[in-house]
Amino acid sequence: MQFFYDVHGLVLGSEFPLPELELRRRPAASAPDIRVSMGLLPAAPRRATDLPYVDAENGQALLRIPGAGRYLVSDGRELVVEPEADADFSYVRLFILGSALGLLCHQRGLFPLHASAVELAGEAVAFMGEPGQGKSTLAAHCLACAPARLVADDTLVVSFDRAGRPWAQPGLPNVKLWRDALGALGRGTDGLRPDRLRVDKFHLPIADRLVGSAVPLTRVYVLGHDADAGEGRIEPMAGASAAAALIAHTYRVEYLDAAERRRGHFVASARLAGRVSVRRLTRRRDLAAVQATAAAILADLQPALQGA
Amino acid sequence: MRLQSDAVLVQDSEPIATTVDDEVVMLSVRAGAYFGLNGVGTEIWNMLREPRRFGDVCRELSQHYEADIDALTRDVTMFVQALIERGLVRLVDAGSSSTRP
Repeated sequence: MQFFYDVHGLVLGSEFPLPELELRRRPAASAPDIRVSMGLLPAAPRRATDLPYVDAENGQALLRIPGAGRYLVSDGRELVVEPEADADFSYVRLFILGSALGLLCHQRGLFPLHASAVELAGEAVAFMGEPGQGKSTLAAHCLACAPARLVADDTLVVSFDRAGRPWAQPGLPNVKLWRDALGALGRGTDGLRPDRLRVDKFHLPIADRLVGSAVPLTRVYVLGHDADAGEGRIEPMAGASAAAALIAHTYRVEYLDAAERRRGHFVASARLAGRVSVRRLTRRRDLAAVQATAAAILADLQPALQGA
Repeated sequence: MRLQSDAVLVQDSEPIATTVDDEVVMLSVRAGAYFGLNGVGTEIWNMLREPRRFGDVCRELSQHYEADIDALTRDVTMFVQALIERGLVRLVDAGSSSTRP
């Protein structure tokens, strides 16, 4: 292992560079939590579905991504990638840091959410929602208008300490934004790396605003759109509906069975729902109003922040 | 299916059930689904920890909520039948009486 990185609260050691992450300034004192390497993988039954092939006996799951390659994820510790011939290596890395790492997090019993999160006054606030609901845009606006830092964009890994308290772990050091969302922030697309999967989406590097370590997760907003909702209608969710929202917005929830984590994840969902304040945030689809929505969120957070 | 008042019901042991903010949420791997119960649903679920007669469950609820026993029995029947269909509650004994509770 030559290249060491911090991601999702874990030390990742890789045989090859992963320029999407920031190199650790000093090498890890102990062995990395995750080892990433390249190699030839054993043949496995081809699957018609996009679900990973599971070798439960050996704690392994094999992921096949057409156009990228195959990824063998073992015991929440080991990730071996076998790129397809002629695959663009940045495309191969995309799934190392996305799907394969998500599967590995599930194997480790971590709780990856499809969410973006910012740190405000020492607490993490997460925005979860389907693609296109404005997770990244809202996070970026909170960074622009408040003394906030980025915790994670798009994939937020939550861990639990011994007392059962949830912690938001620092993710990848960039925010993926559409061209018009960048415009609303007063940014052009010059010099930004275009997203591999979506035309007109760009990676805004934000390493200098990324939190350095885990932050207690205290609040989760579930994003939705409604033409009549104005700039931001906020309603608390409790009990079963809060737990259901956390399950529905779990990153790569379809991999839970492959990671043998269906039951453990369910119990963790209920625990998380009991530990954080889950609120539904509905607003009309209007980029010009995002600033006002961010302000409504800050106002909604105010009592909690003052109480902290 | 009608539920007899002396039918005996109990929670099925397959689903994993846990409580969030006083509401029961359940995962049934067998059914491949998650379920959530509201306040009264949670109360009924908790009453079925040990095998109970359906008529006794309805009587206890009608006393607690001071509700009309016939209307309440109709509602609870629908709810309990839904639990049985989803494999969350088991009919230990179908009962035999044809009188209403």
